[in-house]
Amino acid sequence: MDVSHLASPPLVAFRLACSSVIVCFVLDSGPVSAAPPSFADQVQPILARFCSSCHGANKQEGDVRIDKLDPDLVGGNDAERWHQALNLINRGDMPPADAPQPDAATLEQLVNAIQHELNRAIQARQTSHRKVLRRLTRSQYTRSLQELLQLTIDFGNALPEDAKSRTGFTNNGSVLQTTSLHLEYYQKIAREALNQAIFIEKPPVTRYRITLGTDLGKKLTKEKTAGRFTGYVSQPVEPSHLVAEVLDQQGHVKEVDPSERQGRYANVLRNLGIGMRGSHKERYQMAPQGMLLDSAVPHQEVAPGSWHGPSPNLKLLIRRDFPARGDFALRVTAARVASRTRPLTNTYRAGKPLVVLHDTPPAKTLSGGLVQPAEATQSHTRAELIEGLLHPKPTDKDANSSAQFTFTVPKEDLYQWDLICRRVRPDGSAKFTVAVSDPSRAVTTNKLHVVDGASNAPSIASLGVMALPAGQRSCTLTWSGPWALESLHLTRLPMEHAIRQKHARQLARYQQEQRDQEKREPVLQVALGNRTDDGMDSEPFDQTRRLPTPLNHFATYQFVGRLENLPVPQVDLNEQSSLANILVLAVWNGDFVKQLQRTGTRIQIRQIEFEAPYFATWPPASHQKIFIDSPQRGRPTVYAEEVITRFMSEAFRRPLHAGEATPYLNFWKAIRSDYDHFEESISEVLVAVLCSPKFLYLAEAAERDKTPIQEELELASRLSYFLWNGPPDERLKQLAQRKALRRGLSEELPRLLADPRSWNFVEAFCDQWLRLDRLQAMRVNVRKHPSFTRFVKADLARETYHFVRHALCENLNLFTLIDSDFVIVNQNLAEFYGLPDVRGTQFRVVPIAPETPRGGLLTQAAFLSGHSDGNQGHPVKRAVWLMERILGQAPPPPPPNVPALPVENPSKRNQSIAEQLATHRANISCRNCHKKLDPYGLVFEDYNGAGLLHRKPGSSPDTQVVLPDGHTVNGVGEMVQHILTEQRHAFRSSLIEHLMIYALGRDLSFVDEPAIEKIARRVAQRDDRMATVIEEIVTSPLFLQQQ
Amino acid sequence: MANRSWHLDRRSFLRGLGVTLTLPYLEAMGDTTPAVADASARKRLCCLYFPNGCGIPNREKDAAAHSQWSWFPLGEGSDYEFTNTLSVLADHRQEMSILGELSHPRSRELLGHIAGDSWLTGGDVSGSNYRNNISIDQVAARKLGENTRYPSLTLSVDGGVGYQSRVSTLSFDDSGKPIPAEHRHRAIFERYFSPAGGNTTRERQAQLQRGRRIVDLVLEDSRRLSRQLGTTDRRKLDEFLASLNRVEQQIQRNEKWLKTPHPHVSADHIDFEVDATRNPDTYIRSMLDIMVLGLQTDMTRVMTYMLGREDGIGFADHFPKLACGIKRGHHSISHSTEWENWSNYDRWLASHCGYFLERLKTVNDEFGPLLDNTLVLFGSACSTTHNARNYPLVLAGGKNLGVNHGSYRIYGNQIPMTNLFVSMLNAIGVTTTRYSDSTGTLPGTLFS
Repeated sequence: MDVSHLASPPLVAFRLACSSVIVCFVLDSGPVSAAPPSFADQVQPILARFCSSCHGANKQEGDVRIDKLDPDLVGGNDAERWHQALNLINRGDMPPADAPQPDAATLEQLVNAIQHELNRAIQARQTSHRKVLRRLTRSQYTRSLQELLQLTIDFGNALPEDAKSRTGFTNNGSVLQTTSLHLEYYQKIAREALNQAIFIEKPPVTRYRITLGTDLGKKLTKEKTAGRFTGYVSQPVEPSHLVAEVLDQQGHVKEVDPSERQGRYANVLRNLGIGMRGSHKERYQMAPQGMLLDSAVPHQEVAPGSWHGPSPNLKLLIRRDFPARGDFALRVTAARVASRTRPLTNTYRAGKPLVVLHDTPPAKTLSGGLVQPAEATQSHTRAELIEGLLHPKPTDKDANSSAQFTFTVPKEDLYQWDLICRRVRPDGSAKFTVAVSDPSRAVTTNKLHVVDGASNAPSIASLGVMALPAGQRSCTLTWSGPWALESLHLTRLPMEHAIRQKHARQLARYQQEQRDQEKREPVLQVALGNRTDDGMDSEPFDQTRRLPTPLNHFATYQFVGRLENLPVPQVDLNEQSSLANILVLAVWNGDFVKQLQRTGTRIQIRQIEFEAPYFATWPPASHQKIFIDSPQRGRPTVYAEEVITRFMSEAFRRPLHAGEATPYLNFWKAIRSDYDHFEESISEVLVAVLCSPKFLYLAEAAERDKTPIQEELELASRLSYFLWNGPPDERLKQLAQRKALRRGLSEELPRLLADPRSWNFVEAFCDQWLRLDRLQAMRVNVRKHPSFTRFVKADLARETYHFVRHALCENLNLFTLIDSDFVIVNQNLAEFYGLPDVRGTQFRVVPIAPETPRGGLLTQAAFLSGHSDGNQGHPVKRAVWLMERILGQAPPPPPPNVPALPVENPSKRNQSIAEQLATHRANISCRNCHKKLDPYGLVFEDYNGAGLLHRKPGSSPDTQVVLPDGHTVNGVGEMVQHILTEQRHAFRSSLIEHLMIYALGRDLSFVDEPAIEKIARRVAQRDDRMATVIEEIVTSPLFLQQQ
Repeated sequence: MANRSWHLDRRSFLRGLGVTLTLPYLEAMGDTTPAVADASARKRLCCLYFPNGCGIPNREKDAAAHSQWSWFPLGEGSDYEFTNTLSVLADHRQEMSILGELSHPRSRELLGHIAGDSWLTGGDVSGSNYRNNISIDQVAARKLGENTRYPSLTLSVDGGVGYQSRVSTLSFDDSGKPIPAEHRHRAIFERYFSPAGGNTTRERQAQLQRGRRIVDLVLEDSRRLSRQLGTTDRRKLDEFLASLNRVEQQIQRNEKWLKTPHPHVSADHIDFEVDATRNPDTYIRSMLDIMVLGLQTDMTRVMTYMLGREDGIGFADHFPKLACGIKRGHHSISHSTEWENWSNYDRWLASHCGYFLERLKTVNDEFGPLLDNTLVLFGSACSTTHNARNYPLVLAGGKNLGVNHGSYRIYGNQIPMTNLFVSMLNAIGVTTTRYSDSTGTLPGTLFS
């Protein structure tokens, strides 16, 4: 595969990126006339002399042949190519440095001649190219239907994907096709959508609830017991800890007949159950008040682990009886509880004895030790005291002897137990255990074998080390074997003792963990999916919910989702496998920790309830919106007209023309008798409305017979599909009808941007401008980059959306996008990037120090990882992105049949891509382009395929580059500064140009260049702020479609 | 332009209506096609799948077993040698190719059983979000189904959809959702072949009528819009109208089918009551007979048949015991090193492919043997135990479709199997440049 040329098709370079020659666009106002000598006569001798050897009959470098360009720029087809050529000449890129150069006068003659012709062409084409009929994109279609019907279904999901224009935009009118497949889908989707929006009667509601607690279900009869769901990677919660119930619509427990063999509720309780992710069982625990869940560890994107969900997770499992459509509610009753602290190790195996043996006196402890001679025993069992030695009684061979002692610990510390004992018989081994009751802990020797020990000679048995608090303690010594006890020694560990140091480390870790837990906040996160053979296919829905601090304060949290949008199992009643037909509703503690050793916070799940379909109101908003309240309700024909025209008007985003509804009303009259219910007959008409091109296209009437109100209404739609990616709201339409929109645009903009619907614009625009779709498609090697979880990937795209929307809504300087002294992250991303002290799942502004290698679009992992090969960075992809997307300069397209970078060649695997590119540049056919391209990508080489730094920035010579304009730049930091100083206008124009392409739904051409240039200059003169950019765009003649 | 032609179409179309035919079932079947003239040969696609991969003893460590019991033949190119397994297809050597080392790259790291979900799709079922896509048969059916009574037929031994990761169907719709497979012989025959078939006719009629009325209304409304648009925009809207026209034509074809009686067919040779637990051979062959009948009567041109489910699920797992006297289930065999048993069972499975090819070779339509215009793909989605690479694949038929058979072709693991799909689709007249994760067409001379 040719990895070096995966970039999108090149953007038309129509801007003067580098102003070595300043060209002003002076449009002649007088009549256009070509003065002799002709354009061709002026330029062709120069071109023949300086260009044709590489771009002529014999050779076509960069696939360009200049001698065949049509010299008629006004009427011909090559004006855009002339324009590209002019830009290259203006930039000094052509002729290349190693070729003969024209003198200044020749150059000026050439440039002026081309420019003059271009200006003529621009003027001639002002009107012809402007407008383009746009079909709604998938996401616009979805938003439009969602708002029209008040449903959250992802309607466009089934439609074929929209094609991308050459600039990477999917809302390009000339590229958007409407095939017969589209039309079949439009009808099918409309029909199903209206079925979900309109209700003749309330459908039956399924409502199940399971309560969890130790032994809670133990006394239930067999019929009333919940089910037990087994299978790979799922650990069943025993039904004895569960109470499963069916609820009625009001939430009261419904008695179902457990013996029922047929129908809806047959065996229903046994088809409900709870399962846990099977691994890391220490992270969850059943308790009387419910299931305890530690912070979850996110799962990785490596099969089959990717199907297990975060660990731990608790799953409500429902077999067979659940709806597949409609809104649903999941209610979780949960509380934050005290975190589980991993216990501190309090006992250690003993090292060397801390007592010394002497013949007389028998033994001596090191300083600070306590001695308990055998005589000091408080009581003893199966032992007798003979001459100061506690002898085992030879009764039962296997029975243990024991003795109790009481002693006072002077100071909380680590102590070692040693024992002096004497062999009383020549054979056999012994084992000693000493157990302290408060705090309860014990240490044990291994079996003692003393081979050479002569009978009655004293030996030392070192039992172990214990952490003990100060105060009086009692302990029990238990032993077996033919040994008599002489004395028990408790010795404080010396300061330099190895165990003491190990303990100190543990203690520090323990205290750190406790501090850490206090700062964290548990959240509930939920997902819906279906049981597969090796786990589950699931997708999170709704927002996370924070669990507030009062511990053990149980509350019920409601999550709402739409079944059609989530991977609901397709029920197959013939299927016999126990793993089939299972709906999974998973819940976990979304306060993620990245390592299994961390416990994080702890929550307790008491109850979990599923209701579907769920109606927040009855009849639902979708139904009420169509069947409006009206005094005409009792008169079907009049009411039908009212309902249909209102719906049409909203669907078509404008008031209807006179007679426009007539065919629809006639249609209704013709079919109404085919249906039992009035609502059904109306629904059929509305299906047709939703298949009309007036709904499916952003149609704008031809200039000739347009009223001012019409123009305003068209502007309202243009505006809302730009800034909301969806239909205009009432206010916009009213402004339009009062002819107040155009003149009040600047005042209206802040409202449009602040509206949550502007998220739709930000997401769609970022996806296409910054090519976040590539992040989506990228398969990062998580074996190499283990921290790159699915949650990180999803949050990375959100980071970019939040960042851009923040700049827009806070009206920041547009260069903030290049260099910001903050990032917008949540805890998940902060941990991924290595930024400290960010807690919780919500995104917020986090200030960063200047030396932090983040801030601005260029260091966001969404871009860096999306333009990698999944392992390491990919300089060519990153270079093309930076040039095209940020600087607005199209790198030349790769020539056909270009040799591929040998990344897939095993022998070259050890080379970094930077090294391979160096090899590539050595190839004469590649050198010219890559010399200009590669520097822009090599500056990112400190960031790996996950978008993380893999070495200290600037520590490698790879990132030190010379840009085509001669500037030397080292790493991203300096590239950012370079853009802020040398390429300000390039970025400003690129941002404006990409926004304009998106806003108009068409690619721009050289004809639009003066308009873009004008906006850019005005933005610069005003304040370079983001809202100014938007304002200048929507008030520009280009957007307003004025002459 | 669209508006006028649209009406002409309808009128000329209506003229053709009215003759109801009762026809003998063989070659004359072509005449019952009520759609526009379809003079060229009818191109078809059939895909047969068996689960749990195939036996491939290690070539180095177990050379003797390999040379006898390996599913893949010995050697390469046109002078390959069959082992015990595929020698059952020896009669068809010149009408088939054995394809080696193909697989779906995104499924390669998966347990072979799960790769089964992506055999005909090349979809991405590897991540935490299962993203399957349309299967090749459904892509083909969009085109090949335009002029047949049914666009396609999805069959399996077990029926239904199974469940995600262990499906019991080979076909997936546009959004990657499994299409339920049918498995009851008599029910299939009655629904698709008996003169009283299609009990849902009235409902279907109503559905088509609704669709047509809506198309009419939308057309009327579009015309009004068209008048308001500028020239460029009007040209763009014509694309919409042209598509609307195609939808209309399809509705008309479908309506006409409802009025066209099912052809009388003789099914005397098919045993509908066969008990799979007693006679798996006949059980499978009866279904293959139904398929041949379907192609022969041009009821549909696209079919898939799943001969068993992955992972020992479903009763096909018992076929080795019932049919070959092997004392293990199929899944259990696939975990063993009982190479001879495995090869014998693989051979039994291949023998059904052979039977199907034989039938297609002997039954003709007016363009000659059915096989010559039919592509048959037979295979599985893993090779040896759970290894989702080097799928065992036989491509057969299609002599008239530019397919050059007679060889064992090894493609190397750089070629995604979807490249084969691209080539297959083009061969059956469905012009395609991309399919799922394809990178082009299949290299080499298999397709000319």
